[in-house]
Amino acid sequence: MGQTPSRDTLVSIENVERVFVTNTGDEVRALAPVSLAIHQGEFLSLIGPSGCGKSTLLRILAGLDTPTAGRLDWAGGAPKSGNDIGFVFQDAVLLPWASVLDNVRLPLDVFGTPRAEATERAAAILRLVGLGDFTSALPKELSGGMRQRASIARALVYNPRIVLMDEPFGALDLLTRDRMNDELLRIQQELGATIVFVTHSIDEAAYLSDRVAVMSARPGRISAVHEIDLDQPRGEAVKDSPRFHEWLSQLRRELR
Amino acid sequence: MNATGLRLTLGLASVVGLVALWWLYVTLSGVPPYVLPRPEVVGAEIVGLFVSGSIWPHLGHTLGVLLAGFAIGSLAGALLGCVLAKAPRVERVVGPYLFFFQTAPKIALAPLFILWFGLGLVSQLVLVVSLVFFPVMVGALLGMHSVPARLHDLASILRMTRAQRLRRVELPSAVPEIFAGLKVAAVQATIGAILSEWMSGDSGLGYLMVFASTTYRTPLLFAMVLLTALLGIVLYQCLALVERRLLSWR
Repeated sequence: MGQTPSRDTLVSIENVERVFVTNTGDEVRALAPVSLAIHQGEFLSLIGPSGCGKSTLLRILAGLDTPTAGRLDWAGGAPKSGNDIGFVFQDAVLLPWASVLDNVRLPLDVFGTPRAEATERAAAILRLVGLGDFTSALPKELSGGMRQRASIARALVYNPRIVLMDEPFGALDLLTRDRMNDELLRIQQELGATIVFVTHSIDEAAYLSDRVAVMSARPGRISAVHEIDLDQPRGEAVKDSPRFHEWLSQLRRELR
Repeated sequence: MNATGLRLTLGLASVVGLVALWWLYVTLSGVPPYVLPRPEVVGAEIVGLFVSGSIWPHLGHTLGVLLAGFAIGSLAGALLGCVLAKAPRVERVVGPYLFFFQTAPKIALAPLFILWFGLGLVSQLVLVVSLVFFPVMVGALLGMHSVPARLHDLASILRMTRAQRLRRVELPSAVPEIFAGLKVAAVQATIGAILSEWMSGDSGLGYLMVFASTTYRTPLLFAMVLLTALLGIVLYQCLALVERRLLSWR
């Protein structure tokens, strides 16, 4: 990733539209025809005001929603099994009755991975996200940031082809959020995961992403896609660089 | 003294206090013993019942009806609740009738049950089952509906089968509501078991109650009231204990 971005397309979104019909029979166009190619191994952010359809687009990628028109073209065929897609929600969405380890092991259990192997892999990914000492804790015993780490571990434990994140750090305080951003980059580098990241934070998008897709509302569409040409790997120095601040002002202008 | 020790002491003190008040009232007011017997007479009656062993067949009968009815009713209730939750169309059709039967006083149906199922064990069981069934079914239904939408999304992303979704997400989510239903049902089942023995049958604590009342054996009647109350409390506490262990994650 980064300096030598792989241009292999993992999935291309082609003229995808989504129209909702409300209870009163009105049609609401959540997504105007949207086209975008997502590259293998890249970190792509979708930013935009609320109502621009960024979450709808993510749900369509996840298979949780179906487009009214248009299609998704996956390299190597459409996702067929549960281990193709990892999803991280805004709130952690853990099973409250299960330990952190059991929560992270859940996907492997569902896919029928042998018990010993599942436990081993879940423990390893928990160490990677910094929860190695909390495997037997219950979700209620963790802080918001730690719960979100657990849910990220759950999405990564089965090496999905793509990880979709829907404002994963939106509910966290700023300090925790900064730390989580750095950890996410470290984890992504280690695993080489493809990540599509929905946020409404310009800073977060510019700091994390190889590319940023800017969306606008009513109807939701992609108004620009930018290669973020900041140093890799990202770090504190990047945030102080003039280029970073140029990106911030440009993205802010485009969102206005 | 720790918290449980304090609670036990307070509980014991309140029982002793109540018995003392009872004793004092009987002694001072001079009520006839067939209206309110002295506590030690009731105590002796209870001890006598156990020492002579004459209580066992009756206790066994009531306990049998109670537990069998509770087991059948709660299993059937939980099962139908889950099925209805998974079949919203069926729920819409059957729902209003179930609601009608849930609110209808089942006690009032007891004479009908006797007409249909005779004066024996079957109509006793049917009454208990009908009392237990509805609260557990409603609990299971509510519980299955209480699964957060995001957990369903997670299940969809992992492409869980229907069985996996049920076992790993929906049933565990429903456990708190099912237990709320079970606890209501435990109280109802005790009432139902006693009541059914009032009306039919020739053994059980309820039968002994009617026997004591019609023969003016007030101490025996009091003994039965205490024993049945105790029975209800024990059943409820057993459930609460299991619930605390199962729901320690809350």
